[in-house]
Amino acid sequence: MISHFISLKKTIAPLAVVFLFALIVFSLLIPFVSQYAEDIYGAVHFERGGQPPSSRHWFGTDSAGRDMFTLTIRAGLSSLKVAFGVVFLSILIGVPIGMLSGVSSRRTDEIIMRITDAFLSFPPLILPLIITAALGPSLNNVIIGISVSWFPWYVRIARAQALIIKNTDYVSISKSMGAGRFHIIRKHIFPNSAVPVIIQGTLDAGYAILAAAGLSFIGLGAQHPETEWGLLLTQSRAQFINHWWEGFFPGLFIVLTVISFNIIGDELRSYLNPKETTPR
Amino acid sequence: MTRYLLKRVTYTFLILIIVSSITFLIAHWLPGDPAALWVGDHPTKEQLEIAKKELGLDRPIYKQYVSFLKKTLTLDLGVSLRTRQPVTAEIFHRSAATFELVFISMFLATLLGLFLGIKAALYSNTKHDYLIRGFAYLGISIPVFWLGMILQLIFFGVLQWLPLQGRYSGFDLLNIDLPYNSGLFLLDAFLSAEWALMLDGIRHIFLPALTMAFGVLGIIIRTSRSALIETMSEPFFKTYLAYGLSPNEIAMSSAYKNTLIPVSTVAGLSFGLMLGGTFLVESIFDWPGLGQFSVLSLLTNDFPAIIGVTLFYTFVYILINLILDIIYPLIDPRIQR
Repeated sequence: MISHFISLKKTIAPLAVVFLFALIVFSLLIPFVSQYAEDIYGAVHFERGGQPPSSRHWFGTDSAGRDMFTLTIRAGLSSLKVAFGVVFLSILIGVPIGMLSGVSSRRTDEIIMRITDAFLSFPPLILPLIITAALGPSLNNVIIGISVSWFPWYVRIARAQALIIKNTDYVSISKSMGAGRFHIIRKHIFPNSAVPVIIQGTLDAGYAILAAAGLSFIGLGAQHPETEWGLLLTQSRAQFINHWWEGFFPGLFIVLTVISFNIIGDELRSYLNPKETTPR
Repeated sequence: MTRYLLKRVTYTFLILIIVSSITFLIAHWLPGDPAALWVGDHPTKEQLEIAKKELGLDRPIYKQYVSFLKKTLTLDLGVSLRTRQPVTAEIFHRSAATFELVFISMFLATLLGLFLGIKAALYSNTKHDYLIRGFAYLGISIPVFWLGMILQLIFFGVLQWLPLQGRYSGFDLLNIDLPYNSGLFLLDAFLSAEWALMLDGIRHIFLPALTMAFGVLGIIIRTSRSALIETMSEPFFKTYLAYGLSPNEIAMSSAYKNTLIPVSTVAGLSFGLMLGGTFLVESIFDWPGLGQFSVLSLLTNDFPAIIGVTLFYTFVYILINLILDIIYPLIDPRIQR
């Protein structure tokens, strides 16, 4: 039975990779292959509005007559942009602060950690909401908003690694030979933090997509005529009870994408770090 | 214990000050002119000047900050630019609806999550386990607002069993004076023995509560499952097994206690996740609580309301986690402080 589950996992992880890869390729190509490409840029055709899924419109059309398949696939690009943007930015802010905190004196370390703790004291989603509102609603500001509330996790990971590596014998030897703080960060701590940071980044990519879709759903994220899954869901709300397809497919794609990132993240964790199995 | 408590409370207070400072800084960054929002459409220059004075926006930012901190300490959060009501009063009379929703969802999620997690651990690596774990995986990957929409489609659109949105049917109900009025609708209806009203309330809260609960169910299932599996490898569990008790009996009589600490830790985190979720779920189900109020404030740049709501949410979140920290030793006597 166990072997059965392992073989299931083995087939699912590559599937997740294939799904994400296909999503990247098709969301980039769809403006050139779809016959409804102009819908992406906000074209309306009321004469074919509100059609259920058919061979002509695989995911149906919305009330403005836009092809939902074309829009849903294209919207993947925005969500992937958010996923990579948030993870990249959070790492860029968090990892240097964390490493620095780890090798600093106790007092500096304490101050840095208390301030990052304050960022973690906000309930999830609230800080991104007010930051995005402060900067003005747009997809790029959503990326900034989510990153500012997530970088503390990377501070913690990088600091934890720094504290471990700092006390190893080879670092003491390196120090005794006159190595400075930044040399130790660059040569020893940074390479050793890479693995846990990459694992966390993959897992966070999925949550970033969820959070961004939520912000767009409220109206603080992507704006028309941009396409984004959360935005497509908001646009479908007025008609959703009668035209289920308008909201069903964008939501389904969010779920599939987030699950894919989670599966890949879990798989990476058990592959790169077999000792640790419990999630954060 | 008292020393620990004192340290913990001081620390909480410090965090609150940093949190308010962050919030203040961000809110002052908000685009749009609060004075213009205060005056209304087509303001004259003089009106804007007067409004700026009234709101204290003509003073330097550090002075505004100091007076903001002072006022916050006395629970004066200013006046909402949108509704023209004191923010503290707005928060006060809207929070009951939100807490009712959050507590019922939390209760549902913890109970169901513990049950499913323990089941999954006892039957680990069987079909039941895979099903429950798949379910948990879905729980952490599904956007709550989409789930809410799907539930509305099924239970209102197709089956027509439950109402679409709102907290109770019809506005005429608002005029009924219940002898008890705490703002917690279900509790009031129950205490007043208004069974029809209570049933109506339950029918309305069911979908939003289910939606919110589902969002954190996955986390609770995963945590309780892995905690029990860990416990099952401990010597005491093996001893009981050797005495001839079934894993089921051991789990239900004693081993489940070892899952309570990790579960209450994630329950604290989940509580925060739910508070964030209220923004989305209340918007979908037209629930007249704080989340809906916050979204409207955010969309209209109503900065006193945004600061107020953010501080309130954060305060509640910190408080819940503080309480959990304090009750840990009561749940698990092995923790001594």
